[in-house]
Amino acid sequence: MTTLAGTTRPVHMPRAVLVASVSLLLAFLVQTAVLPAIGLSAAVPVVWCMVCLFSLVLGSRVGAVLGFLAGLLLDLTSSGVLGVGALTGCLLGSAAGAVRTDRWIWSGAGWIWLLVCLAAGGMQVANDLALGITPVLGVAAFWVVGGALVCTLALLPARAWLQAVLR
Amino acid sequence: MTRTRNVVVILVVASLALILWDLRASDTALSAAVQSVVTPLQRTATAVFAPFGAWAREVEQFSDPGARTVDAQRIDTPAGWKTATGRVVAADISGSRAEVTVDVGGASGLRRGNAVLAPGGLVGTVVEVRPDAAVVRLITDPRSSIGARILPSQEMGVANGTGVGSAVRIDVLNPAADIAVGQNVVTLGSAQRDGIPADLRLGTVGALDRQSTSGRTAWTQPVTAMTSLDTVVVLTEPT
Repeated sequence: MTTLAGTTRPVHMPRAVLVASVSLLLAFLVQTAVLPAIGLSAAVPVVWCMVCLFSLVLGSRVGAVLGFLAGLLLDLTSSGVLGVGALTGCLLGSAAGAVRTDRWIWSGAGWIWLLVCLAAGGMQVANDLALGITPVLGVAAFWVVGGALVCTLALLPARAWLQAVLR
Repeated sequence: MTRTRNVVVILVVASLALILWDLRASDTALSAAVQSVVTPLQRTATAVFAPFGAWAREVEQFSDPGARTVDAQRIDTPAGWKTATGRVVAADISGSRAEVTVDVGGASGLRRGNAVLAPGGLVGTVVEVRPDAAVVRLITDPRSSIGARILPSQEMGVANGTGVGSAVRIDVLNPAADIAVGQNVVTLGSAQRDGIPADLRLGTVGALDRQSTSGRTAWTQPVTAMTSLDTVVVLTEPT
């Protein structure tokens, strides 16, 4: 578990569920509707970064459940195979929960960036293979890697605030 | 720690079960139900943020049918077709797949296989219809395959998508075809299939591949950038 030293108060579950669902839905809308609308790409893994943020704050177990649900939402609204996103999200959530963090606001950013890139890339490759398409390293890879970095750096500072609100 | 591992194992097994179930059954009812909730949210988000960036436009214009008509007039539609004008509200341009959601659907007369036009020519076909939204597979999607003809030689071929941002590959049937860079590519069309009429512009030949052994391969740039689609016109049925 990745609680800060000294913070042993349990998570306030109803509040955590509410904040996490609203945040993930917002991240989903930003990724699929807002980014394409302002000329950026839907390949930017905003949802995965949000899953990692909650996983850092709430731990591997809750992170895996949130990742599973977020992936399921992505699956159900995309042309991919149902379950691929859920699998990716659950593995990502549990892995991100194991990242060690300290009090620096961007602590763990490198690991989160790497995990998000792996998750987003892995999900696309798995979907392509399942649909019988040869995966190609296209312009989407640029959006995944660059977008994951920007999103991670933008979202991680909210960790301290979330920790204060949810515990 | 053990509980965490148990939860992860259960979720992984559940995901694998979902994958197997989807590959075997491909049931779209659940997905349609979720999308009927999500699409209006995506539409609202798109409407709010459309004024910023490349799709710059006033929010009032978005909901004003008059503005749509003006925008749609830039799109050349063949005579003799009923049309529906829509707007791209969500993109699923992940990996090599290229599909977008538009905010017109079965209520406006859309059917599977309908041709979707943007300024310049054909950009895709309707693959999924819901009451007030539809999914359009762009011609750059690797699963997209459309009969094509290269002008002026009238040589026939098949236009296959190769992924977002990549050129469309035209496999020309005739190995001795007299084609050159810069020539126009149009749809073949067919009387059998009411989906895509003949002679819609698909793009311009950008490169030729002389190495291929059976037939020739021409690479075509689509008529418009697939990542910045906005207003589209769907040809719903011949009048």
